[in-house]
Amino acid sequence: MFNRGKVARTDGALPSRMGFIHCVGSRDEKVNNNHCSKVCCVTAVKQAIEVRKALPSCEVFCFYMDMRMFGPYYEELYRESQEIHNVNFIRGKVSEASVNINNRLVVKVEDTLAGRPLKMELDIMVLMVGMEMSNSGMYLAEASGLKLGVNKFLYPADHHFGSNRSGMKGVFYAGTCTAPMNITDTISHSRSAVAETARYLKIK
Amino acid sequence: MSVQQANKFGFVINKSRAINYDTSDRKVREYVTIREPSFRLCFACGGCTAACTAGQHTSFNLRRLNTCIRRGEIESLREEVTRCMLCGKCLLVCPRGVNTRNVVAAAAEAIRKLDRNEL
Repeated sequence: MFNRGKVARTDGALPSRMGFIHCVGSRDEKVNNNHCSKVCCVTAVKQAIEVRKALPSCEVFCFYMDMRMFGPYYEELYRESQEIHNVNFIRGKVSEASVNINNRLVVKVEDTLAGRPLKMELDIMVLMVGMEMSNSGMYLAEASGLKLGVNKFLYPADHHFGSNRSGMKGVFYAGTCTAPMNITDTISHSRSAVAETARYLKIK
Repeated sequence: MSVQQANKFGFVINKSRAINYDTSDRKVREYVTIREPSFRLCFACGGCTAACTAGQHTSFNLRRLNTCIRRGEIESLREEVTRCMLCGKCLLVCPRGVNTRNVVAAAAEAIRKLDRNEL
């Protein structure tokens, strides 16, 4: 939407209230993904700020289970979103979304901090979909005998000291094939994969 | 069966407990946010409630009070604000630097104004 230079509903109207739903398809046993996708929290906060900047009259709500601001300056961004951009945060997992007579979305959620159910109308609902292994990735792992972890990402030889090694000779892992990662982590992981590969080739 | 008949048999219709964000009154929130902008920063850790002297002896809960202000739950707020003694202990523990004492004072003031139709 931002690529096209504007944010609008499908009928062309400008949204007056937008909701970001965290943990969609991740941290959810019902879709067989127990893992945290790591990058969605900060992405939602960043996008929420973008929306507030583009449409100052649009209220923005983030529906979260936990805010996991793991990276450098992420917590500061979270604070900035509240302090400067007035983004609202509601702790609770959205259980239901439907359309009402005004052609607006109605979401139902438990406001776990108030300890009561809450419902509200939204114009646009943004799903922060968690990362998972692609079908082709899983097929590749199966066909080549690479080990998959419980999160269905490729399982490296050692998560701490050998996260680039696959346990198979000449095969190295780089980036999000082993776990959800942000761009910074992916670059670091790829650089270490290159170093690992160079070392392997020299020994050989 | 009508409601009156149902009542005879011990059945009652409960009022919805759900917070309806679209019909709730958010005037108090706006008033408090303008008077004390740091109010926005609360991330509901509960430190204030744990430190609160009033909270040790009554059901007063500052974290819940903040949520009530945000969601426009005026009726629950009305009673809550009177329980705070404004000692300011909560202010000392807040990790986000929210001026909690001023939040309660502003909320109490907003309610007084609301009752006088000045908000």
